[in-house]
Amino acid sequence: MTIEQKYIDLINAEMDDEISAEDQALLDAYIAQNADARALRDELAELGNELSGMEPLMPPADLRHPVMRQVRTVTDQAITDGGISEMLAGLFGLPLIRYGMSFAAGVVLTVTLIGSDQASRQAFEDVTNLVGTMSDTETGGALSSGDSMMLALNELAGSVSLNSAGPLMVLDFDLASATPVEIVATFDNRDIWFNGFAQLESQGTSVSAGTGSVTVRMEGQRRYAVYLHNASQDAATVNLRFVAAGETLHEGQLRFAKQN
Amino acid sequence: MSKPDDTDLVQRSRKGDSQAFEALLIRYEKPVYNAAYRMLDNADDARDVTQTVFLKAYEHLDDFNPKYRFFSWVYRIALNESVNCLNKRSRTEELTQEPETKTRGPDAEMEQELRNRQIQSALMTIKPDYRTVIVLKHFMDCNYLEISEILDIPEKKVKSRLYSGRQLLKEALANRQQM
Repeated sequence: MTIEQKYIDLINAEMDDEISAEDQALLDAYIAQNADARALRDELAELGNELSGMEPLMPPADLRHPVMRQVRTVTDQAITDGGISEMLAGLFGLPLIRYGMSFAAGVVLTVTLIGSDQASRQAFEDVTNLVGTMSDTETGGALSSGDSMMLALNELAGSVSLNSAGPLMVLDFDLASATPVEIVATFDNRDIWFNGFAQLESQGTSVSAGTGSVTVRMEGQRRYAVYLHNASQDAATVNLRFVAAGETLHEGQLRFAKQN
Repeated sequence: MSKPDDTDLVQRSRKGDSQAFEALLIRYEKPVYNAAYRMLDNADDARDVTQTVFLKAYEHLDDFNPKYRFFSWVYRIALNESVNCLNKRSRTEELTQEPETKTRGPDAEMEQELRNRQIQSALMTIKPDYRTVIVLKHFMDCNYLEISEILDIPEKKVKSRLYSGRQLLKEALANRQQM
């Protein structure tokens, strides 16, 4: 028994809720007499149920804020310059790269790092003088991307990534927290020491460093980097613990693989 | 107080009101992300595409024709960007790994996850033209007219692609079950 094309169309239309009452009656009458048509309707209904049974996914918590940061930068700049179209044309012509786009375009970014030679093996207790702004890894061109982690907790969302260039390792934090959060980074490799801190467009992040660890305290939306010196350039693991109100929210690791 | 409609938010965004644009982003980030994910089967790519979509939408707000619906316009950008991403992907690499699957949770939940994974994998085997209409119909709940508007093709073509797409999807699923 075959199915006339007209009824195949009606079965699909029924499935899509796009069938008229008249056609529905016609289809029902046809299906009552045609086993193949019944089978097709059942198969399609099953497929439709399976597709609709797939739950919508939640977008990552850090999706929105890089977009809005860029939009706000454009808006602010346009207000200053009075020319939104030119500003937009320039901005969005740039390649949109996961890491690079998080940086606010139009903001002059410079690097304030202490050179590796200046750093002793003694960990710093006071890092106030090391605070600077961040450079874009894309335009800087020297850093290579490494391990990263995403956080989508109620209290804290965003990403942390570990990038590197020679002995320089950069822990890049792009986070938003609803409450004060303390982030403790510890290193298993004793050849690694704290080498600097930089933050983008914000104040209020505090840093303290001890031997084998760095602790950052933050609240709100923050983008900052902790610079580490990996003298041996050997493989290393950075353990990260995120704490709020004395409770550990999340623990994770970022790994640096030895470069050949 | 009622929520401002899309047209109002678009107009305010055009005048430089970033909060209005953020309201649009909040309203549509989930469907756009889901459309991209179903087209690409990769969370990182879906996130990148979603971000690109909204930045492009912002860039081209002046080109948006208010006689169309904002969501149609933004979905069209999303699908085009997803196809661009697929094209780039096919030029640079072959898919060699099955995307990650959650394996924790009760048996029923695991079974559902596994089935979802099979359906998503089957979806990836059919051509993007067919996948697009299935995504719009079954994941974005668009009707024929809306799909026609988004893809800028006649309704008749929407129907035929949908029918063929489902047929191909059924076959792909049957093949995977036999494997």
